[in-house]
Amino acid sequence: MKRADILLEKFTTPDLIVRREFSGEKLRGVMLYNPDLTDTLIIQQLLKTIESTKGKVENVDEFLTRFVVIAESEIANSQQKALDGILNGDTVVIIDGVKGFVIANTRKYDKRAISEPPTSNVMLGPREGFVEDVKTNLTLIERRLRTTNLAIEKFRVGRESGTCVAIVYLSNIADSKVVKKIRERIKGIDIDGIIDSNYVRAFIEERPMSVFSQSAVSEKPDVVCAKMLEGRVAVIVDGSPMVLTFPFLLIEDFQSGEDYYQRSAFSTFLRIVRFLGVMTAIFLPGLYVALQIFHYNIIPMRFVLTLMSSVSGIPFKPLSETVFVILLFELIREAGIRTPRAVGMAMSIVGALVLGETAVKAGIISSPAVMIVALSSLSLYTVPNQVGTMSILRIVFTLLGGAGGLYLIICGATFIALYLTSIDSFGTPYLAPFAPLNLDDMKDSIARVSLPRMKHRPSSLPNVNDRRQK
Amino acid sequence: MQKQISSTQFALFAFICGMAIKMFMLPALMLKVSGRDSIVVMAFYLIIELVNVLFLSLTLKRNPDKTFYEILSNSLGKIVAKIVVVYFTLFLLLKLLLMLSEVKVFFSVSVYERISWSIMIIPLLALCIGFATKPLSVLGRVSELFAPLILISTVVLSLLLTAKVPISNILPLFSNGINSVVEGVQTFPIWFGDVSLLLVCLGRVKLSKRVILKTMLFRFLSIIFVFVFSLIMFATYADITDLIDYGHNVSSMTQYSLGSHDYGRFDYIIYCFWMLAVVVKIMLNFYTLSQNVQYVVSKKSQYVVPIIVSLVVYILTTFVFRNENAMYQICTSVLRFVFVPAEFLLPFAVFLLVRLKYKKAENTDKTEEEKLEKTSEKSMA
Repeated sequence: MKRADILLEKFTTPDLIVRREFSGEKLRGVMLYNPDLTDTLIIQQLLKTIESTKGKVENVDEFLTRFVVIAESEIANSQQKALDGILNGDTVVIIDGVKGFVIANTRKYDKRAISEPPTSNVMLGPREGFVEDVKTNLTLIERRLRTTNLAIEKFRVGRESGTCVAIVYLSNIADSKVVKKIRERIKGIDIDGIIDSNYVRAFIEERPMSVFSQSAVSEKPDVVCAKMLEGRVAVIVDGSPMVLTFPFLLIEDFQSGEDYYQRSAFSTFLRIVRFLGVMTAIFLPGLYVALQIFHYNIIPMRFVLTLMSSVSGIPFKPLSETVFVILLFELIREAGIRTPRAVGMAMSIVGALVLGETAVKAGIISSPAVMIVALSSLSLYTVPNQVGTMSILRIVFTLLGGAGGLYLIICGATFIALYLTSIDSFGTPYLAPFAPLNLDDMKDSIARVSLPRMKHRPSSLPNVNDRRQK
Repeated sequence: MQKQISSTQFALFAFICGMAIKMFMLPALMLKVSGRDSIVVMAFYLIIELVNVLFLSLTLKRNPDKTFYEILSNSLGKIVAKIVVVYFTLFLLLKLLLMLSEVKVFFSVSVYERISWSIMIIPLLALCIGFATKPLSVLGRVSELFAPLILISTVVLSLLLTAKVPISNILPLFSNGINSVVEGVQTFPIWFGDVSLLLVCLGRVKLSKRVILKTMLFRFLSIIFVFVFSLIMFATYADITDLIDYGHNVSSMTQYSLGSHDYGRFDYIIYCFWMLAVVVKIMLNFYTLSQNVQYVVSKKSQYVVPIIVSLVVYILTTFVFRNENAMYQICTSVLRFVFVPAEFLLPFAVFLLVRLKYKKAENTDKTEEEKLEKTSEKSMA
């Protein structure tokens, strides 16, 4: 069959594709499918049905109605669509003498089961997490937002990967201008392959080179749905369990999904702890260095004596010592992620005991430095999504503190404030609701009031319907 | 990005400008000149500034759309407006140099053992350029971010100090008649007149209903803080003014604050938070300076003008006025009288210009309405 031959010629290794011819009483045709991606049982059943049929088929619609009783099957008139179908795991049916292609959904491939995401552990609340399959991820959202206002737009992105990228939003809440911008940016992506949502993120964010993220990333469907209910747009990428949401406020990373599953007073307390954790992570090493080099009179006398006795004999200056310890911690952390499980335990002992304790005993580094950097490193993980940003910032502030003390730390902090207050995420000020101050939105910022009091959606985020409750 | 500032941000500017610098070196300098009566001098200038804030707020309410430069050029013509702005620019430059000098003194006397100001000023000027190249709303947002830190640090410092200082030591006042007061009033005008800095906000504020009330309230709060701090400073050093020199400031009092012997000079860290007010004021001053220069040269350039202004400031502060006492001498020389109109009369003058224009527009409208009525009566007849 010529049409089948034309399609197969497009493949570099056409042997990869199974070409199965079939014939009924007055019906002849061919099926093309990739056995690595299809459910062959469905194909066998389909073939049985076709080959046992009597009568002729006039057009593809009749064929689809009579024989292909499978959800998500469709008719295509273009070769490209037929090729896309084969590449996605569908079966393309070509009937002799009838125009068009029938694309039957026979996809079947192994995918990871839904489980608790490793990056977002919770004690209370749902434990489902997104997986690498876009269909499953959409199902997780559709189960939570059962409304006709749920809009899902799919795009095929990547010349070689043909990755499915879906925009999901609530049409009665999300601002259409934001949706339009995101849609245009996704459509404008011209790249060979999209492997992960982070690829798409770089094209949608306004400042992809910035240290500060301008999109939220979550592996939890409950969190993404909650964000969509506030007016955000979710972007799901096939092959990635990380779902993006836009627009983004910095305060989002200080909020956890679990905050809404426990009492508001405790949630507020935890958010304050996270905020203090971030401040500790970023500023503590820099302050330690600054006080030691320039402002030892600020340190209480008792501590000064202890500190002096701890650092005496250390060959490094306070700045180089602290930077060295920070880099050591970063090395241990990175190695800890990459180390195979079989040797993980042994390497942890090497890192913690050998490097840490032995180095202190040998007098190469001081124990206050180790303690300060350890506390800072622990504090990094109070806000896991900002670990990368905070790791860089703490080194910057350590260098500033060592170079110029409190004065340079103040200048550095002011510069960061200048930068953060001048960036927007799709028209939303990055530091809202703090700057510009929005008292209504402060109900769910550092503090979290009880849900009955959150009658309106955050006005800092663009939306077309700000009323949540009566 | 929104380029206008909100009413809250404008009120915060009024708060920060009212407080910064006045709680720095000024109290110590005033003590040297006016002794205990310094508190009267301080109160005098604070009240004048409060009145100026009222005029500025009324101008804002009456004229939400026109900038300071548009008001001047529409009322006085372009040439006269530019002359006024040049004069205003020179005042701002002097003020900026004074603030930078005081920051230098604070850090070199109180916080550091030794400091190379020619290098340390560079990051501050880089920040100034950064703010001057962005819309005013960015500085407004930064002031909103810093305001809680400034407020908390001010309150904490006040609480730490009041426990140990005998406030009654401020008495008696007027022991030399009003001579000390007059001497103080005519020596320190340059340290005041901060309301003029806010003229750059005209035409750039998204007005809310209670903008005047909010602004006055915030300004009044800053007055309270300045007054309390000055009172404590004056009460502490009233009897030993000979021991004070340029470099004494609030932090030299806070060494006596509660807990400093047991817990170290943590007041420095609290004071550094308070310093953010000075940083914001320096940024606002530089922003206004850059805007003025852009208006005078009739060239809107995002980067060139701020960079040139910062180079000029760097040369002046690092090479010309290297000695901090030189700035004090200049600010207490005859120049202090030259810039009095810029400090205290400019906000009132702008208010008058706007009011006159408004009245003229009202009269014009009335005349046109009367004409229309007459015409319609004629046609009816």
